[in-house]
Amino acid sequence: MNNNMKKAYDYEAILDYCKSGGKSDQHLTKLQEDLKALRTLIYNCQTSYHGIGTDSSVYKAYNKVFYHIGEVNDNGSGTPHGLWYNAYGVKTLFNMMYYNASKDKEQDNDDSILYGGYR
Amino acid sequence: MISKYDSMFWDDAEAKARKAANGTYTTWSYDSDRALNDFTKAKEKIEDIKQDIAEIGNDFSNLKALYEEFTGYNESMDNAFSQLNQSVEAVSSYMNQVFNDALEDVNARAQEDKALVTEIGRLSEMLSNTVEND
Repeated sequence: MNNNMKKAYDYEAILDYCKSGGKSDQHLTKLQEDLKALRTLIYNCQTSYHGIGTDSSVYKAYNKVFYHIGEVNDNGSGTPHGLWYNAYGVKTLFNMMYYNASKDKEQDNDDSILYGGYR
Repeated sequence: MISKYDSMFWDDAEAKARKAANGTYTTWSYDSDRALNDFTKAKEKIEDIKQDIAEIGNDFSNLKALYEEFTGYNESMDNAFSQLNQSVEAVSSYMNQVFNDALEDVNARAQEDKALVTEIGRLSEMLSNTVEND
């Protein structure tokens, strides 16, 4: 934390970490790319190996895999769930941290102007 | 003036998409030229996702350290990390069930189709690697 910061944490570091293109963004982006790729790969697996209709054990297992990969919207039935929904929660957390750190920085800047840089 | 909201990348269309297994197949099928390759790629991708989640766990640890006296997000970060891990373990578990079903099916049908006999060994080897990795 530099000497001008009034808050008891390094909001510049939070901003840098959680900004678009920052480390958290890179990791969340990679997770999304891998989740998208996994869906395609599971479809490929089912094309290669499948049972008949919807009664087979393997159909039910594939369906559970898709369920736990998940989705954010309920699309009118059920609730959001699975990895996509969990990833959305992570994105929301990172964005909240970024937002609050930016507000704290702004507040400090405003106070510095108001008090002539001394407080 | 800084921006209060610097949006991270988010694939909204993919996140909102509802995907399900194909339930319209009218015949059993095991494509021995492709299945093992497809299974292996899916297994590797699940491991990639576990690594992605571990990286996000590191992000949370780093952010907790940066916040120090501010612990308002700690519980939310712990819950998010726990839920990610639970979901990927469920994906891994059900995919292992697919592999086990394949082994069982191929084993049963190899009695009639000798071309499938070699698949039993290959599938068994992949499955034993899966168990070891888990």
